[in-house]
Amino acid sequence: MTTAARTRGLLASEARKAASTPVTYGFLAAILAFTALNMSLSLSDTTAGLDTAAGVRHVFSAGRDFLFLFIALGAVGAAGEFRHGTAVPTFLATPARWRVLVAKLAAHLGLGAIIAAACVAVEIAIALPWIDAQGTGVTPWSASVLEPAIGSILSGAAYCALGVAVGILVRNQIVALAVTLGWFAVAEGALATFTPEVSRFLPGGLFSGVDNQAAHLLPLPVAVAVLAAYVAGLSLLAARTTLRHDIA
Amino acid sequence: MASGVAARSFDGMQSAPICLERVTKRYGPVIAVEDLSFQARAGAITGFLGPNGAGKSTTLRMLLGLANPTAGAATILGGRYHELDDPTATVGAVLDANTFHPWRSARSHLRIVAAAAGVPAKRVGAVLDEVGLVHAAERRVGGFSLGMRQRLGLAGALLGRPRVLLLDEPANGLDPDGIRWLRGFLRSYADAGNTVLISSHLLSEVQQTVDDVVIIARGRLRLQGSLDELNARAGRTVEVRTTQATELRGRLAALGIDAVRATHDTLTVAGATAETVGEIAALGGIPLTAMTTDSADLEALFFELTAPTTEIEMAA
Repeated sequence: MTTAARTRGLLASEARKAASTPVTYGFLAAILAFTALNMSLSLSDTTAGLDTAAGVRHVFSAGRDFLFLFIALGAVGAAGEFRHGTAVPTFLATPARWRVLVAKLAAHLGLGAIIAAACVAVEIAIALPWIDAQGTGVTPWSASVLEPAIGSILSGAAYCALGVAVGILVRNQIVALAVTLGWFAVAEGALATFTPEVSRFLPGGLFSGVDNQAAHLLPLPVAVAVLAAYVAGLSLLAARTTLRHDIA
Repeated sequence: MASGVAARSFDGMQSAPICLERVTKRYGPVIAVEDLSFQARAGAITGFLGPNGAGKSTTLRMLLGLANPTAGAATILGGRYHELDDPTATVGAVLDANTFHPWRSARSHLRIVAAAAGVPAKRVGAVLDEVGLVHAAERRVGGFSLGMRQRLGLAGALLGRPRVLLLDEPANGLDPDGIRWLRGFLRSYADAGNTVLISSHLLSEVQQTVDDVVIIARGRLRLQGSLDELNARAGRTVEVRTTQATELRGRLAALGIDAVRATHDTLTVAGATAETVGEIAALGGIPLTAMTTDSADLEALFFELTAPTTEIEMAA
């Protein structure tokens, strides 16, 4: 079998795993529900400034508060291999474990992008009629809609892959969730308080940078590049450490 | 190897499909497997026996590259598992009956494994049929009995039509029909020239299936040989009832097989298997009305071999 055929098979296998796991649909439902709720709350804010491009851009960044759910999705999906013991048939079929990791990252990049695109569709479906009713002419391809949408899709994909790296690194679903929530809810908040200039380079600060390009945050391409570096760094760490451990 | 126990030498260590050479596995201060060497030959079913905690599963995991030996080499067809060109077509393995996502169907699980292994999706239906799970193909694995999970594990192992099968306690959870089916399946698989290694903590569970045995205890080899050799070592006997006991005893004696008259129509035969006694009787046209094999001695030998042999082992 050629390397290309083997890679295609591995990708198909990882995609099927994600599509046949209830946790995927649970997270999808939660992310869509929170996105719709947050969008509705943002639109009902009388100070939202929907008659300005900045106001519209802010509203279309509604999903950014829930990007940690994308990390949780990737982490739970990856660590689930160890919880359910499916890591055994996975690594028997593909003994080169780094190949499994790469395929899992790629599959979750796609999954994150699809879910984020669905969020964007929900946001547009809710917001555009609302904004239009107020007499502000905004289309889906307006810069104030399109740019945050692209940012949301890119960040959703990257955060889902980041979750995979976390899941493979810790190999335990509960610990993976605790690490994710602990980092975003506690650790990064504390770091932002004491070292505010560093905050925009941290994973949590980055997603603000991806979605909301206020002057003091990183531009979208830089934020995406830094996020990709986090994914690569954590994946490399997982490949060099826990992925080499015995599979129970 | 335990002192005084002779290991059977096969055609040569390198030619054996499954080969362990001085393998040791330590978990911190705990030695799970120590200096273990054995081989399993093609065309035979080898029983890998030992009490719980003897190191059987750890050994199988080292063969499959899921655990790294602390020392030594565990190879299949001359290479370590991760060096095999097409692992799924070389080795099929069932290590645990709980390596399935409970939410997935049997077919979905197998399609996932098949895709990763580069096996055509149409093989999924074939292996489900082979293990008798077609009727449950679309059911979630979470609702499967242990026996059904064992069959599903075996289906996954067979996806790539491997030449070597490694099965860890495959009879666990199988009903009598399932055990009979498994025996028949493994026999035909080995008879086709393939290599089968099955582990068990019960000799009685596999003695009707295996050709060779490897017995370990506390991570160390205690005996490797054929089942016939183990029988001979155990002094196993066959009790046969016939209306022509005198004539049968004479025919057995002519072949150097000792037979003692237990009753007027019953002989106790030592140093021969039931198959051999049956063949000799058939050749002489002697009708047999009953034949039983005394397995108590074999079990006793197994317990003797796996019992602690030193004060240190007894204290462990």
